[in-house]
Amino acid sequence: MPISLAHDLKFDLTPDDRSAQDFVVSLRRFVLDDLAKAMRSEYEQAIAPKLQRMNGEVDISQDDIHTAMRTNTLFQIYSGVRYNAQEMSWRSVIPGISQNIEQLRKTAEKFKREPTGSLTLDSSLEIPTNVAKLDVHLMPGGYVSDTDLLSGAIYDNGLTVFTAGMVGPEMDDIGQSFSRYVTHKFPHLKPEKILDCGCTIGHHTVPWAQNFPDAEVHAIDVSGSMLTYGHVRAVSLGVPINFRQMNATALQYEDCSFDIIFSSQFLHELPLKDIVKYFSEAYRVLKPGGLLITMELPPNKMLEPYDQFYLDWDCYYNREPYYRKFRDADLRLLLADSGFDWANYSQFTIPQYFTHLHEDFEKDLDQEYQFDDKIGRMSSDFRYFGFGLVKS
Amino acid sequence: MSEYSKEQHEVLDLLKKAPGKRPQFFDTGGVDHLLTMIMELSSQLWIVKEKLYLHGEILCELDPDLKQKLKHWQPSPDQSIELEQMRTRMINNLFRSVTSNEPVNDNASDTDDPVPPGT
Repeated sequence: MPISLAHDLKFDLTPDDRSAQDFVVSLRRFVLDDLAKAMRSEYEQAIAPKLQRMNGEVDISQDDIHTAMRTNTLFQIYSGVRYNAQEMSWRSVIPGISQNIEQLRKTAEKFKREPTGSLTLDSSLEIPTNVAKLDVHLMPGGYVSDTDLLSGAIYDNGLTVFTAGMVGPEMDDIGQSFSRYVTHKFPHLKPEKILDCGCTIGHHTVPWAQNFPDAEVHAIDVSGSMLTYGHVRAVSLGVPINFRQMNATALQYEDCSFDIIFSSQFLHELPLKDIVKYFSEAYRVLKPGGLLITMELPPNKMLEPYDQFYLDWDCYYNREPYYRKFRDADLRLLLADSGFDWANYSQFTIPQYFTHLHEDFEKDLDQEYQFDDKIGRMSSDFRYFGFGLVKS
Repeated sequence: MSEYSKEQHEVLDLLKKAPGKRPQFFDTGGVDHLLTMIMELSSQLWIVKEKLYLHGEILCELDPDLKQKLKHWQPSPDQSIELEQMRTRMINNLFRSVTSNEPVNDNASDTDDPVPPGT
């Protein structure tokens, strides 16, 4: 089944472009499943025994593993192929976007006129260095290459290739899974206002609006292009979301105004000092009894050293410089001065909603799950890591 | 006259941009670049393979007997010779950097490349 966008901003691909994208999809599946398994096996059979002999009584760290693996041919091939496949995910969509950019703008103009949700841009917003100066995830031009649709279009199309269907055919499974987690675990919570921070194109915001149709859903990001595209995308899906260009470290909302604040794959892109600011701001704008819920990469201390090393690959080779610092950090310390009561903290893992029947998904949520190598990594049959706090 | 508009060119120009300094995974310089080339070639090869498949399918729809003809096709003696020559040329081209030891011109000693400093 070819991978493609599941909304009206989709455009026809030439057979060559579609072939190129399908190739990347297959390649990434091979890298993340087959090559990753082969590399782990190589580590366990050949590298780990050597490290154990060298380290003696001292525990093996992820840095020991990384150092040893850097000279291993399989790691070199895995990394080289994965890096190139990441680049190719984006590159494979650019010719098609170039060919269809005018049609895309016309479609966007049509949807912009519909009174669904809203879009508020702030041209005076200072774009943080971690977004302005980096081609995050190796995406050409980064997330703020323009003020119109382009970055958003590359992101949406490229991410569709990158995720290879692993976060659902509509690329919304993180939002689906987490919003359904909330409805299951917090049945009495009837949110009036929900905020998604660092939403990019709002693909994970959409399910919150769908699953809480009575709530007013807001979504913010620092990239105007992502929001412009995201707004049009949401309108095309008939989902009302209020997009606003804003930095999550300085929320321009009233105190105690939201019932749920969500983010996904957002914190690990921030310097630690900004995460601390974000937590404080989230506490301020949440209502008492409101919920901060976060989908993120699992903390390193919860994983075996090999899995730490495996997940932190992105920090060194995928333009995500804060990735490891976040995963090494003690969330307790980051939350310490935010106002949240640590006693209210809980962390959990969630299966992918789209791969389960609804009943099985809910049954799974009621079971205790051990942290293992299926957590947080992009591969078939993986689970999401999350944590949450209720404001007292 | 370019077939692309200025705006389309601007989008395509993104392909010329490198997202920062590329990491080096392999010990020997240049191998990472070779891998990138191989990956790009693999992608292009797949495009060609898929196109051949597509063309075959379309032709078979037009000529219902063609599928069987293609399945049971055997080259004639002349075709076998031609195909073997094509394969040999391709293999020679592929390995030319490791097999071509003969100088292009036997009388070229006066114009040999100077030895680079530090060699």
